[in-house]
This record gives sequence, structure tokens and C-alpha cells, in this order.
Amino acid sequence: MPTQLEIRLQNIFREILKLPALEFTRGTSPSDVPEWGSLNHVRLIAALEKEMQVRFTLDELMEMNSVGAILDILEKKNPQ
Amino acid sequence: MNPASPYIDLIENNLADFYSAWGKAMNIPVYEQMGMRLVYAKGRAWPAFALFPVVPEGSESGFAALAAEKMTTGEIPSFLICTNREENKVLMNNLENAGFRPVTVWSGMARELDESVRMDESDHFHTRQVQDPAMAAEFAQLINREVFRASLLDADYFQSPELASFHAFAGSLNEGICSTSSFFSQGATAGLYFIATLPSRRRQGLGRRMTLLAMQEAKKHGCNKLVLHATSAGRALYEQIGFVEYCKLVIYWLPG
Repeated sequence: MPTQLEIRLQNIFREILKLPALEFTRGTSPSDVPEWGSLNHVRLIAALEKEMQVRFTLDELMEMNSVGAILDILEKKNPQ
Repeated sequence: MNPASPYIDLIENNLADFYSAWGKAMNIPVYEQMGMRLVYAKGRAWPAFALFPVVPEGSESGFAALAAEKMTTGEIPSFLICTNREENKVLMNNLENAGFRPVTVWSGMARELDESVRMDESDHFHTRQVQDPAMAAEFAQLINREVFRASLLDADYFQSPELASFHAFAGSLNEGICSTSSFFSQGATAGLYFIATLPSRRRQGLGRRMTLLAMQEAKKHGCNKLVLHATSAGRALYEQIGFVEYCKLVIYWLPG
């Protein structure tokens, strides 16, 4: 059963990548989704900060290379 | 002076010259404005960068405000790259105060080139330098698909005299190209770029082989220092090959 955070994250991915039917797992990474290139990754980061009211550190940005890594970082930040 | 500074200078200069060379080969205007090297095509967000601003001490907040204003009007590119060297700390604070957000971070790495660099030979994995249009087209196709996720590279660019210092290599198993690497030389320094492997051929050590090949060829070319910028996915490989992180390259974006 997906968590609220996972559902919110998936909705952001769907909107930014323009993939309304996207279903991801924690292991999903840019290698699995052609639309998740470097420009859309930038848009994803900007959208996450805005929607979740969080700010990522440089070290966190370096590690955000899969859905699981992004979820782990967001969970620690307890987003609004 | 920070002992890492000479390496950071090499990392910055090679990347700036690499982008400039490719920009000129692709007929994208390359400017120098406001203490920055800019590779810019109006209306194209990527790969239009403002690179490594050099801002006099005391001018940081004015620079950040001016950069924000010019990005808002579209006069300069949407993305600004800074290394997190000591000299940039005040500037980075001012950029964030002006609304810039760091959105991607690369690891700026370097190492000396010595005799220990050698790629293992293999009966099954064949490597060649990219020297003909057909191979250039395959190389470009792989990079467009796996790195850029957009059709940015064209085989014709490889013929440009602006890329005389760019040397590309392709590796294949049984059929077409499955792995790539390249170096861009400036004097004794070579920057490694476009190291990529098809997803179906990953986890077989091909990225390592192609990296060592590029290093070996750079050595033959007379280079004795190597630089590169790595994502988190690639950093462990380069650390295994002896690269050390000297800085982070932070890409700033101005939302809105």
C-alpha cells in the first residue's frame, strides 16, 4: 500500500514528466524512464522544493538518483 | 591558498572550454559577459549555461541581483554553474538570497596520469576511435539517448575544426556501439566526457574499460592530468580508478 508521501511524489513525477500513467517503485531511476533526463530532473527538484516546502542540501542533491533515494531524503525532512 | 585550487582551476577551465568548443561547433553563440563564460542559444534552456563567474570581492550581491534580472528577461542562460571553492562561498549565499536554487550537483574530480593506466584487452569487447561519419552518428545517437534524452549531438559536428582537441572512442560487443568515452585536451590536461553505456550492457565493467581507454589515449596524446565531473552514479567508479573529488559543481536555476 503506497504511503501518502509516495502518492504525492508520484503525482509530481507524473506532472513534470508528462506521464499521467507513470507507476514507479523505489528502485526506479533515470535509466528506467527516458523522460527523466537532466532537464526534467532539474524541474523535478524545483517542483519538490516548492510542493513539499523543503530545501535540499548539496549532499542531498548529489544522492537523488532514484525514487527510493528521493523518498528517503524527503522522509527525513518531514515535508508539509 | 587552498591546495585544491590548482585542480579546481583545471576542472573549471576544461569544462568551460569544452562547452565553448561544442557551442562553436554547433553554431551556438558563445559570449563572455559579467565575468562569466556563456554558451547560449536564445530560447534553448539546455545546454545553455553561464559558467564559473569570477566576481570581485564585495560585488557578490550586486552580481546575484544583476544575474537574476538578466535571467528573468532571458538575456543570459537559465542555468549558472559555480564550484563550491572557498572564493565562491559569499557569492553562493548571495545567489540563494536572490532566489537561485541549487538543483543539480556534480563531483569535480581529478588525478595525475601515470604509467599505471592501462585498459585490459578483451577478445569480445572491441574499441575504436571515432573517426568516420557512420561511427560518429552511432556515438551521437547513444549519447543523445542515454545522456541528453534529446537530439542535441549531430555527427556533422565531429568534423568541426572547433573540436580538434576532442577525441571520442566507441566500444562494441557483438553488434553496434554499446559504450562510449572521450577526452578534450587543453595542453597537458585532459577532461573526460560522454562516458556512457547502454542500459542493457551495464554492470559488465564496460564503463571502466572505456574510461581507462580514454585515459590511456590521453596519456599518448601527451596529457599528464585528468579532470572530470561525475554524478553520484559514476563517482564510485572514478574513485576506484584513482580520481579524487576536489570540488562540487553546483548548477543553479532561477525558478519562474
